[in-house]
Formats: sequence, C-alpha cells, structure tokens
Amino acid sequence: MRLHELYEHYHDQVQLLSIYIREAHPIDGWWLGRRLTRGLFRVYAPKASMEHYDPKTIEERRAVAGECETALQYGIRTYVDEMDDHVNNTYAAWPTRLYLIGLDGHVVYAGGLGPYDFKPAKLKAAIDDYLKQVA
Amino acid sequence: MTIISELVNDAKFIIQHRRRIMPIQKKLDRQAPKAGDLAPDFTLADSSGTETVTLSQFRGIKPVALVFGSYT
Repeated sequence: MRLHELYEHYHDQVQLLSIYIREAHPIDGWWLGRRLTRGLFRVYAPKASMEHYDPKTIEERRAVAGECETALQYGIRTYVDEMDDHVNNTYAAWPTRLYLIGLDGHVVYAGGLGPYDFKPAKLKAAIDDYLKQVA
Repeated sequence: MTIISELVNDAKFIIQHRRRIMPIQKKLDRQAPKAGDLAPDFTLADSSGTETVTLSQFRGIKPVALVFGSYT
C-alpha cells in the first residue's frame, strides 16, 4: 500500500498530515548519492532526492518541503517542522515514521523506526481496526 | 581511485554514520509516544508559511494519520 493510496481510500474518514522534518540524507550529511548506495537508494526509494543540502533556515526547509510535495503528489497536505526539530524529536520521527491518533487525542498506532519499519500497510490495518471500533 | 576502494570508502561512510546516529535515534524512540499515550500537541505551518495546523484541532472530529519524512 502506498501513501497516495491511503489518502485516496481514507481521506474522508481520517485526516492525513504530512510532517516535513530534518533531511534524512542531505548531500552535506549522510548522503546516499555515492557509488555504492546510489543504485540501492534508487531501487528502495525511487522518488527520494539525492540533490539537496540540509536546509539551514526555516525558509529553506519550507522551500524543499514544497518541492517534495509537488514532486511526490501524495495528495496529503504538508506541514513543516521548525528548525529546532521539536516535533521530530518528540515523535522520534527521523528519518520517517507513521502514527495514528484517535478521536480522543491518544495514540492508536505508533509505527516502528523508519525506514525499515515504515509500513503503510500496517497503518492501513490500524486505521481499519480503529474505524470498526468507533463505528 | 579504483571502484573497489570507492566501494570500501562508501561502506565505511555508511557504517560511521549509522554508529553515530543509531544511539540518538534509539534514545528518542524510548521517549516517543506509544499506543495509549496522549499524542503531544503541536502547531506547524505549511510549506508556504502562511497556513497552520494544530494536532488537537481534529480531536472529536477525525482521527489523524501522521506521516513524517523528508525529500532525501
């Protein structure tokens, strides 16, 4: 299950929010554009960018977030974490993570650490179970 | 530089970064909200910087799926 499929299937019943956080693999960080990793990265994350430096200001981060939103076309509205990475750190979100928050504001599903435990199919299962409970 | 030495350097680069980052990630994960916890509230602006969202504004209205990530 891909993220845009989740959006198409559930957007009437669930509010999906994309939270843009600190870059996972910027050129000036843990860059995966080198010879060994570029090919692997292309296979596992074909839409990820290997051409961005780590934003140094909120304006830069918002600009990259906007590019990402346009390029990936998930349909999910994107909001950008501030440069203190507060929301990212609070949710231990880096590099990528999924959560489902219930109507009462409590966590229903906390996905595992990404990238290996970033599993939209598990989020889908959690959404299905939750919607049955509250129906 | 030969291909082999490039690959060796790339592998070393990956290992060094993992060793540096994984302990930090695991520490944050221990403190992160788990199923049943009240989700920490936040307010963030969109990529234009003009429209904001607050997590708690959806309480009682819709469940919320949070998708965290970046372009790289």
